[in-house]
Amino acid sequence: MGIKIDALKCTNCMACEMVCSYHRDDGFAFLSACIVAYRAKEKKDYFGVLLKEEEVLIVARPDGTEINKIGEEADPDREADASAKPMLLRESCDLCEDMDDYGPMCLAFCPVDAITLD
Amino acid sequence: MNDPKIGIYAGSGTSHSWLWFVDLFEKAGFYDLQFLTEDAVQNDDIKTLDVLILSGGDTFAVAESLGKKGGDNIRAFVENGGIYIGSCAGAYLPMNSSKPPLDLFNFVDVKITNLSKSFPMAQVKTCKFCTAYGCDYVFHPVREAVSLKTTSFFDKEKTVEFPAPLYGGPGMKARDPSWVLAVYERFTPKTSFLTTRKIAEKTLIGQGAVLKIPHKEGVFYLLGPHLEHPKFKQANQFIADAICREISKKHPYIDPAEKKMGAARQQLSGKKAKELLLPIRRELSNSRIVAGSLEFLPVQWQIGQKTYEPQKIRVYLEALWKRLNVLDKFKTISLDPGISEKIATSAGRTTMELRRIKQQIDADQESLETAVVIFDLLHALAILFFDLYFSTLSTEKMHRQTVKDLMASPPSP
Amino acid sequence: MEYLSTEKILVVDLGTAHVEEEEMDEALVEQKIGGIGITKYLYEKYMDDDPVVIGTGLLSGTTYPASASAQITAKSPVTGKVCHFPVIYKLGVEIKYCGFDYIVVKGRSDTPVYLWIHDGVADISDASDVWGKNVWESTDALRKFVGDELLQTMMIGPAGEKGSDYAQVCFNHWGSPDRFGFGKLFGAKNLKGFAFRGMGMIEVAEPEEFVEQSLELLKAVKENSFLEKKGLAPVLDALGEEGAEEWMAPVTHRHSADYFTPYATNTAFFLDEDPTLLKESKKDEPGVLISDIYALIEFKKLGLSASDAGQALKACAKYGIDPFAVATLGKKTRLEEITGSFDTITGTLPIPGKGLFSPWCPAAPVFNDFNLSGDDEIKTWWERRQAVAMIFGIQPVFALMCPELTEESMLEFANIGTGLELTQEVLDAVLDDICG
Repeated sequence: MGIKIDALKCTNCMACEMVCSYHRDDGFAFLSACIVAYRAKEKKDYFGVLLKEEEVLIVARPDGTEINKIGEEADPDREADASAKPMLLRESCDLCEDMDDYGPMCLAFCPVDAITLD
Repeated sequence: MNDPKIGIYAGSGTSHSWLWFVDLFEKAGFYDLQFLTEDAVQNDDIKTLDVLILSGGDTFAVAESLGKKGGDNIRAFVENGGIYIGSCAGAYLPMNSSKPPLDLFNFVDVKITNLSKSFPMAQVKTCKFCTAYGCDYVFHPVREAVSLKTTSFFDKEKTVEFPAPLYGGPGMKARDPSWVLAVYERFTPKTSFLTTRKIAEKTLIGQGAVLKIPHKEGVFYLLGPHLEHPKFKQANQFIADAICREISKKHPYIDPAEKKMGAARQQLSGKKAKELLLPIRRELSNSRIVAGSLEFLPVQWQIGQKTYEPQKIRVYLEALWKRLNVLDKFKTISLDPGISEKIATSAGRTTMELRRIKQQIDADQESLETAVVIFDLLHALAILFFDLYFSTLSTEKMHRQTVKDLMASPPSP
Repeated sequence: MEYLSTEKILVVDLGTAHVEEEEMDEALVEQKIGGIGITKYLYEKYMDDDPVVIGTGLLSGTTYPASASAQITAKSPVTGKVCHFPVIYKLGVEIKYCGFDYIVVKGRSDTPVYLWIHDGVADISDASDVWGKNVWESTDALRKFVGDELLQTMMIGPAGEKGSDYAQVCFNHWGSPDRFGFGKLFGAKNLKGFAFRGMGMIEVAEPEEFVEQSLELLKAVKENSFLEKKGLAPVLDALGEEGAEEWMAPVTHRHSADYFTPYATNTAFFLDEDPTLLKESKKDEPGVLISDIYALIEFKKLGLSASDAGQALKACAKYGIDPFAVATLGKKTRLEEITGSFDTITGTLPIPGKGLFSPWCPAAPVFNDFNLSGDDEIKTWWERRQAVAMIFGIQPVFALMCPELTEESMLEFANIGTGLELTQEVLDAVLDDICG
């Protein structure tokens, strides 16, 4: 079971990012979220959602979803580094397993229901 | 017990896991910390330390940068009573090896169990992750949390089992079984297998995970997993307890009246302290902002044997930023003269290079050279900053102890 | 002021290039609550120095639905009155997370400057590299310099630098609710604008209850059927502008929302690009993001195609000029005439009511009638609703759509978030002070 994102429904409001970060930090911030509203191409009106899972980064684009293996080398012929230490800045999605009342917070708070469980 | 003088190697070849030791020691209240570059080790600045920490990274690069002089000084440090604690790469370093430059660091008679010569080549080839090591290959059978169990050489009365994470560290076979304080007992549900379970079990289960090797007056502690990882509290406590035990053997009693503050340190409070910290905050913020924008960019840099990602930049900066916010709340900060300017300058240079690399990546230009500069700058910046931070914590702790002592036995009229 | 606050007020004197911080006093919040309750207070405190005051609503940047906006308060150089307009998109929230609840900018700089506000640091920075550049060029240049595309800006363009009465303070690349000529005020101060970026954290007195109640409120809000719609076309339709959807369809790309706002109040037009394109466009500037409902309506009334209206809005956003003024006062019907008229339009814009709040916002409820009847009742309600939205930091257009966001709920959330005991009486007193 995992998070599924409909990037076309998404309106880039950042609710998911805020509540995910709250889930990690108990205050309001954006720093620790494992789901991020991608908004770096504002002038091109190109926006979507990034989600960090245990081993993959889900890139939910309006033109289709990509799944990239984390630690995957930019050079496909080269193996990733098994001794690489984890970064611990953004933890992977745990579907808010400790938040019984909500389930995944991003799903609960998305105002346009762009996030569902697969 | 006196605060142990702990030196943490943060020079060339280290990854970011030495920051985990910083977190651990801060939580344990060990504030007398020094942050060492390869120059410091080569210049034998380590001889006054009680504990020398060498965490994870690229073992070859560490050995290369420390060189013969650094190796000799480390050996002398331990022989004269020093406590060496090496985790992961720091555990590999002092083990016997024929491969230069590791052969400059043959201090302990311990064999690596995750060495390819122990297995038929066909089986080794099932393992994806190997590094050349002498005539053989070191391979990594698993990643993430494994379960360790203490031996009777750690505690005659009872054994303790606790998890710790493995990220490329060794399984170890000691010449003397009494050196083994803990073994790899079992895998956990979080263990990630990088080879067959059979090979992984043969390589690790029952083999040494934590070794304590006496060497003349001192001792080598070799940790296969990263017991300093912040999410593994029991493992952290293991290290802290080990240091306390060793230190209390060395310095059973120190008269608190003998404790003196760093004579040359400035003490600044109120507005002056704020003004001093502002340029540091400015540049750390500027750096952090660029680092945030680099975070999800699909770029990696191969530096030595290691792969570096943009996220790693943020790791360093966040470690400093959270402590800057702590410093802001202190009434008084304590620092060596001139250090705040050095930190601000170093942070300013870091910002400049980060902005440069961002522009290079955006323009699809080569950025490896700038990445090398940035990671060197981050190490240097972290070392400077932690000096300021821990000197403040240390002074604050001494003040509190002095007040406590005075309250307990006020001076007679 | 420990909760829902950065605990700091910034005071910048452009004349002396001096920056000072004041502590955010809990007593001030107990008396004035937040947003324009406090920006008005600060304006009056520093009145002699003709200040611009930027504020954040008490609930801005939280999990309260539509808690998107910040506010700007100053004396309009055009109307001569102290007035307020909201800061929208993601800019409002960025201000809150930059380390200051309120920013007072007084005096005048001798040379062009901009304020770079980041993580509790305020840098008065030399703007000579961007003075003379249009809004888009300025925002792009600062984002490149700082190294972050998520940098949020408040900028003036050539209109503000030249002292036009219709100069607008723009947000990032887009037009804003500024109908008061604040761009002229900035220009007179040699203030090119602001750049904001912050990665702070806001503490909450009772976070679990705040978040739990937020979800309950959001569920109630989501019961509204208008949330099946998106973008400006349905809003134009609701305001009686017939045929808006068909008119906009040939250039409509996507719709986006301000922070945590359930309705997407912004529509992007693709003007130099296929609007059905979902992949990232290879063009640098394929279109324009529009939030200005009335400017769009005016261009439509002038007989422009949606594409030409979009081009006009894009040109206005770059020039930093109020497109509603360009449309209504210029009355040009061809795109080239419109873009050629920026420096020559004359006349006074009608500002309804007491002239306190920007008429950028629809003048009546949208999608829901809030049980109002009669123009007078609507006008009174509208003024109060704008004030409340700007005290608490609610997206002002959404506040006109959603009856579930009541004053009672805002007060309740404010109390849960801060640990204070703000009452309806306090809110009424603040509203009396603001609205007169």
